[in-house]
Amino acid sequence: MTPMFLLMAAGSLAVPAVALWALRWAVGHGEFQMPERAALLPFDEAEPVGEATDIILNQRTSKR
Amino acid sequence: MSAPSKTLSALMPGDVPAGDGRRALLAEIDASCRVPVLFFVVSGLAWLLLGTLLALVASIKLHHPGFLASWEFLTFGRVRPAHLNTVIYGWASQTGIGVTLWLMCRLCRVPFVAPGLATVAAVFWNLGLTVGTAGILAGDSTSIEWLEMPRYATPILFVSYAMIAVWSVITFRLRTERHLYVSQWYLLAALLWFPWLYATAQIMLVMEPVRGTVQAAVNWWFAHNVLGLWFTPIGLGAIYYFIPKVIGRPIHSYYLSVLGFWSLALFYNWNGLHHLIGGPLPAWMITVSIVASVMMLVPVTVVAINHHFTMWGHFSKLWHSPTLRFVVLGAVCYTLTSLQGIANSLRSYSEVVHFTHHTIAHAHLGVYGFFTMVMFGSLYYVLPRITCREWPCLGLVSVHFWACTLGLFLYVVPLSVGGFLQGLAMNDASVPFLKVVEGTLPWLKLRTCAGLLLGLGHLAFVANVAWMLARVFGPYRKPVVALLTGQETPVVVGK
Amino acid sequence: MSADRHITASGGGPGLDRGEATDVVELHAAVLRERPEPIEGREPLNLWLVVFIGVLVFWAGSYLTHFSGGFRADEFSETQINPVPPPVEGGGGAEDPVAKQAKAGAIVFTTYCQPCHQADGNGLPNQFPPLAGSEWVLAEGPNRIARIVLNGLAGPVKVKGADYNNQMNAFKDSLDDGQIADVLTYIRNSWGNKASAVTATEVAAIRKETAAKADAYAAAELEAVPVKGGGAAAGASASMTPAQIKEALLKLPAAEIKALVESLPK
Repeated sequence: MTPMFLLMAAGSLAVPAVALWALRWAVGHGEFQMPERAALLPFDEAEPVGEATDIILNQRTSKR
Repeated sequence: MSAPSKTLSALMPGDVPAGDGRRALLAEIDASCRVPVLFFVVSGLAWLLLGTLLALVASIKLHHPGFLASWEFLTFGRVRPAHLNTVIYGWASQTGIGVTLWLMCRLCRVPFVAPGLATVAAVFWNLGLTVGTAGILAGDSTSIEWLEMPRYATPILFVSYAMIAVWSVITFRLRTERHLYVSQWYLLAALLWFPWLYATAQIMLVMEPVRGTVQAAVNWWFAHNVLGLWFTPIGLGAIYYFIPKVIGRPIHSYYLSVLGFWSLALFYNWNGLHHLIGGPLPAWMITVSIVASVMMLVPVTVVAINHHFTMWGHFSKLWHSPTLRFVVLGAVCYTLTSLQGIANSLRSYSEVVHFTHHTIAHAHLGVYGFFTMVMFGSLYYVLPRITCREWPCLGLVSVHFWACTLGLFLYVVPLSVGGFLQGLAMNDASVPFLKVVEGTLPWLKLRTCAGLLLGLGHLAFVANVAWMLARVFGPYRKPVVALLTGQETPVVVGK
Repeated sequence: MSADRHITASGGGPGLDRGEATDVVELHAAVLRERPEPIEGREPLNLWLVVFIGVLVFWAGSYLTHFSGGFRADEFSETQINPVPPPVEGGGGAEDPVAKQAKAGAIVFTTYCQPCHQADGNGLPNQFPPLAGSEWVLAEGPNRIARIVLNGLAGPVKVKGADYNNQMNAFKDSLDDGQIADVLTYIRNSWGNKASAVTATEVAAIRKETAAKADAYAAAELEAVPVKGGGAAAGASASMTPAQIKEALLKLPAAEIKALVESLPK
């Protein structure tokens, strides 16, 4: 029981520790520096901003 | 540095010639995801059908207790946990992992690393789940809610999970995009939280059980956090990707999304114990949990504002995009179920709805209305891209959407109301308990009807997917449609 | 919104001649100039949102302070704090017989009673009636309360003005006369309760009177039992008029009348 308890306690401490480390890494890495750029990450030349990408329903009159 | 040029092209799509290199990379990433993601998704769908069937049996038993009662393995005490485990670990977790793998590849901009590893992980996951579900039906359930699978099944699941974790670390290390999108925050956190929750609960409840009321505390901590720290981040990660992607507009405020993520990480973990209001636990544990539940207003409000303002002016696209329909419905349900959950955590409200069907309605609004809907939406986006086939029948898409939406509405609203009335009656000392039970019957019958509608929607979706896969693997192969260009040109995919 | 601005800016601006800009940094610089002020993208949080979060944090702090039972492991009710952990009064002298009995009773209470009636003796609203300040517990003699412990109690009962409707187990077989006397003394002298101690002899007498009763008492049956004295007959003969005795005897459960008749001197 005691080793298990220690394991649980260590786990419960490790998770916030990882969270703090991740926060520090993110700040050091400039993750919060250019929010407008980060928001553009899902897009690129192939699927740019301004282009809807899943328009398939109710298209018969206009497209096909 | 290659990052600035990417920004440039994204900012000025008109000036940069359509990047064939980028398009080729997207096509390559999507094609490389085909086998592992399809494996997770298709087996997830199979478990969804089985889970729906078990749910219907359990639901009918609640108003016709004699239904199928002659078979021991189909008694309520086994069917209900079997339903829960198949939909949670079979459908929701597997599909969630499948979508996570695809999103990770796309956002890291790296073709699928070690598809063999992920496929073996999927095989193990299904193996563990089959053993576990068979164990539950055979009467080997541990009788601990959300952890019913017998102890000989769970290590298999854990091996599978470890492989997925290794895979995600490798993919993350090999990423070619330096910066993280908010979805990746959510997905990586979910991949970290789940093993922590699962291992802790498994050890403290099954392997080396703690004693007394601590068991209840650990159990609720786990069950509630599986929703909040496993399904919620995957679902929100998908929403944060698909809404901007489908409507072609960046998220309203990236700062808000970061705030939403970190406040979820800070507050959610404390929430579970509000289920034990009135129970024999030290008052402070429950009070802390109530406070944390109410503080969840911060991430919920922030996410709702962000999604709403991103969608602003683009609501007409809901008419045209199945992905957007399901994902936006899921996002709305996320807000609703969170607000309902916060209300449920308050002492005065909990005294009424605790131990009633209200809680069941709430759980389904979360797992079904929010997570499952978001997963359906994600699959409508992911599957055509990894198979390079269009959806074969748009009529089935509509059947799926409307059956599931109506079914959800018919499930959640009557059961919430019925559960509330049930709670009021239970608190009235002059009403005999049997009268209270009889009073719930109409609501339970409505629930079976809702379950049938949901089942119809699932069948429509599975039929559509099977049809699509028949075009990929079956004898009636259709020419490949390059979705990205809209031209019917053969694109070389796979190897 | 910001994306729309980006597009307009790049479309309406002078644009970039990619042939001329060979230097990546220079190219980048031009784009930076065309983008809206960087401060736009990182506009601070909406003021109302900040106020909202501030109010929430304030509420959280005050709720935590007021309803946490002093963050004690043995405090189960959010609305009150026990002043002393084991609320046995007069705990100073081991020679005080009442305190000694209550101390033994506290152990019985923790094992058999606390799950329902709670450590603070307040029960649970709508489910389990309180013992603290209960008129049943504080009655002059132990006649009724001992019967409840021996045979259990079923059905509606009014305690401190509130209605309860539940089922309490019989402890006839699990507790002996001494243990019942101890636990009754404990609950009659805890949480601010102050009433006489109960002896094992008293409990033994009541056990004998109720020996023939197999099921749990209803509240109405108990109300027919006099609060004090060596059982129904003794209580009746002590202070009642003949008419009252007749009425009380008529209300007694059949089993007790049988026991009474059998106990009469031949």
